[in-house]
Amino acid sequence: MQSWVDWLDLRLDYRLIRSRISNRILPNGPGWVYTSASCLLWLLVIQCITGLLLMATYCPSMTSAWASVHFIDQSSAGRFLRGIHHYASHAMIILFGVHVLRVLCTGAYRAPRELVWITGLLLFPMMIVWTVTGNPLSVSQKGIAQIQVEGNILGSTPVFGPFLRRLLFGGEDIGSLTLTRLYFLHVGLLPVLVGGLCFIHLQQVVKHSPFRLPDDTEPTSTPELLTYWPYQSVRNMISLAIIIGIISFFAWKDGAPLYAPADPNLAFSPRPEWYFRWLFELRRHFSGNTEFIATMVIPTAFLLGFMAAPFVDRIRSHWLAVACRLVIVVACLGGWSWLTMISFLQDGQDPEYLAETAEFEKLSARALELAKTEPITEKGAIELLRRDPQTQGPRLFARHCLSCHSHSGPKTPVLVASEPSAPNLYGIGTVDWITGFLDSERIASDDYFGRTKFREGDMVQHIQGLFADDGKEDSAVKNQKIHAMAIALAVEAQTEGSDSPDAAKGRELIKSSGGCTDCHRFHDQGELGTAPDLTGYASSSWLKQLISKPSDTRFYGDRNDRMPEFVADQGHPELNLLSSQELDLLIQWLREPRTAMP
Amino acid sequence: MNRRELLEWVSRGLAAGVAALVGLPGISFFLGGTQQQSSAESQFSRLVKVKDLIPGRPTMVPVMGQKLDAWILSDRQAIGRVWLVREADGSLETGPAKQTVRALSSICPHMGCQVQLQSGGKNFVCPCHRASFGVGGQQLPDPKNGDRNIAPRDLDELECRLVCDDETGDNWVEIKYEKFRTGLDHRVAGV
Repeated sequence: MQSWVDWLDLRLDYRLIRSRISNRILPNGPGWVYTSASCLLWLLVIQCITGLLLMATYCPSMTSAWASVHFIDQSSAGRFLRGIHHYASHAMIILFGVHVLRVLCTGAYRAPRELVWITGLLLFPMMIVWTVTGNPLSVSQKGIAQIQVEGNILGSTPVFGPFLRRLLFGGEDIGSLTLTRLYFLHVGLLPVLVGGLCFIHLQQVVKHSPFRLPDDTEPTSTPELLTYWPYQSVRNMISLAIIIGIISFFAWKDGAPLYAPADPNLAFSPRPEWYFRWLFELRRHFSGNTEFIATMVIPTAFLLGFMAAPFVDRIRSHWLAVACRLVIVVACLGGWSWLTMISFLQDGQDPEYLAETAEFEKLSARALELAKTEPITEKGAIELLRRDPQTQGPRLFARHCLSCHSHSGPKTPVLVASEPSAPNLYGIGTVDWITGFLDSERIASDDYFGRTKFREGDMVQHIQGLFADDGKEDSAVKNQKIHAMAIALAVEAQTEGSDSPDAAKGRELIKSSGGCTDCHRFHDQGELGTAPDLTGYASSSWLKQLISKPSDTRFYGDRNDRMPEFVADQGHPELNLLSSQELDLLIQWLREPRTAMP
Repeated sequence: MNRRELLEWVSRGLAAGVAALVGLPGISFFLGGTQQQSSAESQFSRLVKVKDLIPGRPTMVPVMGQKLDAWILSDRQAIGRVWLVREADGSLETGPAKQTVRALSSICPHMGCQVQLQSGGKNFVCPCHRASFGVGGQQLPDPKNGDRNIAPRDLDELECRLVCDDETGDNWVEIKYEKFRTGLDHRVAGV
């Protein structure tokens, strides 16, 4: 055994290398303040390992990325690993800050360790870019919106801006190449650059540390001369264990977040991650052409200023030097915290931002809920929400209908038109909705015909003549009639189940004493051309035809008030206001809005 | 030059040649390999009928077109969005000459987010940094920011014309979609 080890050592010289590393002697001996460096290194190793494992499943394509990340999360081990990878990236940024400040405080950057300091500082922006390129890889709405803004920031750099932006995006805009480029940076270029810098950094650390030879005896009496291994290492491992414990706790409890898949048709107010909040806040104070001062000049100036520390720090007096360094540390930390705090406070007071964030959280939860039951097709996860009436209904309604119609009821987020000029469509086709229509008071209210040109038309007069309280007929009998007719029409709308005696009675009323068929067609009775068809009233196909062409003879003909033709031209779908899929989603939601979300 | 120097230079030259053989195409590939095109730019695309726009109320309309995204060609992809604002007095019956529709790019000139219509429909606001614009696209003072608008310029107005379709007699809005660089106080085409 011994001979083999000797044989190896003769060739590799590993004993000397090992003793250079593990028999190092730290200034003032081992201590807790030195643990930040080692924790950073081991977190980096953990990031590389977890990252490699994630790479084995992740797919960097705009259509598949979200689905593959969701797929990773389906295995509890995968979810845990992704959680570790996510939270460790945040932990590394915190630790990096701590480490830099520690080195600054103790003045450990002084000669001959200038290169340790400079390579260390260069690692910081790389680390940031590393996390920034990692966040959009899931192709979530948040990640893509963030990289969009980050790309624009890059683009606003004078002279080279547009070129750099194009380089990052792989074109004018975010597209397939963007994700490939981000992936390349994240798992290819940055690991190589960071690895190289880390090597120089560590080589310099070791080179400039005093060490004891392997055969030296241990000086137990002087703690300052204790070696790195195991006296510093045990402290490092205790710190690391605590940090990894915290990270694992969050990774196990929450996993890494997975937000709603990116949809280029949606607007979203991205906020940078917490470590960039100071920059976000700083940017508020610059605008337009001077923005690059906040985003480029100031951070670069800070970095260069710090790098110059070993060369400008020539203060002889020990205490003055300590005081200067402390002032710098406190100023940096204070300025950073101040800007960060203002940014969060401002958002916390902005009701529109809070509402949008809450809505986005719901959207993300909905996407995950849908992914549990719905398959993700080759069109990608984006289709989960695009095919979901609950998600699309309110949006389509807000875009196409809300300028005239409201949609407000007890069980749904209220969509109220600012100047309603058409019926409130909440619950259209249900017994309640039709009952309101037939009510002599309510038909002329804002919820029905009150703001249309039919306000004083034949229909309103007919209903009022039929059902207004004139003292001749008992109101209970009238209400029974209204109820029966409403049920009969709800059966047409297929919101009411199979036939009941009420429905039969209602149908009879519609055809006879209700006088409906004088103007409306109802199955085999009445004519088209004077009022909308009551056959299949408010059913899916009826609504589809009405919305497509309200001025069709089956509906309002030339009496149509203001409603546009949403599907005017079957032959040219691209010229219609609504695609046939959109129309289906809107109708599905209108007929079933109960669990709707905004 | 002695023999030693000659060999040194030959070695260096050959090494540089090998490096250039891989490096130059590498750099050219990495810096140049970007491909995105969309068909609707620099030509008029037909968006909506004038009568479908409600006077005085801005409507967001996607500009559809064919888009080549690196190696994927997609048909009918939204290549951009515009806000169409029909002047409040334009009546339905008059011909194209009597009506006015303005087209504003939905891209905020500040950082490129999508501007939204403020509830109430009286002005646009960008969700990112709350830059606000009137329905005509002009910058509005921001009271929260000392009356200074964070956007460097007004919303970009796009070339817009009204065309009468001879077959159906409908008046259509057509626009020429363009993108402009963000973050500048004047318009520069491109991204």
